[in-house]
Amino acid sequence: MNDESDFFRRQLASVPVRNATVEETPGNAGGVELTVPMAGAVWRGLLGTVLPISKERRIALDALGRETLEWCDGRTTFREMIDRHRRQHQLSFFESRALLLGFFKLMMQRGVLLMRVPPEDGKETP
Amino acid sequence: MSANRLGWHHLCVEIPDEWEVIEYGTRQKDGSLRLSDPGGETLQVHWSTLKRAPNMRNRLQTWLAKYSPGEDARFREVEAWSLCAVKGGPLVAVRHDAEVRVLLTLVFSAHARENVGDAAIAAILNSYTQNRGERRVWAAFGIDVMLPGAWELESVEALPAAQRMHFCRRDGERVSVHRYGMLPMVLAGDTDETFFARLKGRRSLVRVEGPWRSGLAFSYRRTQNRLMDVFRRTAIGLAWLWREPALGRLYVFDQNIRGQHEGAEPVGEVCCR
Repeated sequence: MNDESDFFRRQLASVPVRNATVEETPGNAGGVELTVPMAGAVWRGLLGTVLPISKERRIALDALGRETLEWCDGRTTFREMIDRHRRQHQLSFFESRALLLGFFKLMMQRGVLLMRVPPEDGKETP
Repeated sequence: MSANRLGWHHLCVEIPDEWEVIEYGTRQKDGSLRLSDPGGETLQVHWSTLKRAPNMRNRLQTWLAKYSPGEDARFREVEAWSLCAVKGGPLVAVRHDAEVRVLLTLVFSAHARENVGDAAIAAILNSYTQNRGERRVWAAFGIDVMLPGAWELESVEALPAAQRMHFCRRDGERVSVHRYGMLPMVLAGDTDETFFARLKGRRSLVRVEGPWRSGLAFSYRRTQNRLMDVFRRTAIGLAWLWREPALGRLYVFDQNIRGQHEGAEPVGEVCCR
């Protein structure tokens, strides 16, 4: 159970950081449209010479997604975001955590965000 | 420390406000619950049906040998509970309900002991009541409902901002309790009437029966296929929908019982939190 507590502690102390290369343009109904440059894989470059493959990925977020993304200023921790979210939407800690985790996971998979995780107890930052 | 009720198979206890169920078993015979607070796991509840009364001290020693071998532990009895507290580690409490032959094991984590203290844990154990008889409490995930003893837990859907607990009786009748949050997003512009109609799906004919307390009462008739209605059972139900503006929640109590008459009241009592 102690390992789990340390995992929880580190998860809550993590700081979501936005990818600086992502471009943002206003979207519909208070949302935002994100343009994420794609990593230059070899096969993509080769195929790109003959096929019209896009070098960027576009993601549309609604107003709620935009607002959550705006909280990611590189300083606010995951715990602080959960508290802000639960206050704003009158949810429980676990409801807000589940919603934000799902959102951040998706954003990390799409290359919009990365998570700065504090080191384990007694270990130096690599 | 404000308290919430945890009601599940075989137990009803008062737990700290911040503790919430994160894993659950729905079987009555045996299963477990795991609870957590924002800092980590706090409590595990295990229940199992035994053929004969167990030796509590042996049980605790087996647990100790398996999970905390070589640790300094103290054994004691508090009312019907047998306790084993590992120094700087978890506290285990077991009790056997001879009448229904159920063994209950509660494991409070070191994190819980550190956070709320052993006095609060003793208060949790003191608040224990057997959850059986004419009325039973089902309280977890923010839902807190008291139902007649004949209703058994069938399934649970615990999603963020949408929790549902479904109960059934041996004769096949069903009751569901729903709790929704983030109402502007969940309702998506719907009124209470259209939201309920959306909830029941397009194969249901929904009728507003009128106001009910702070919400609305509905009746509905579910049809699978218009042609086959003649041969199939048509589900007829009553439902009640109400909002709790102070909590920002919307509740639905849906009961699908044959022979229930118009103007019937819900079979359960929902406590909103």
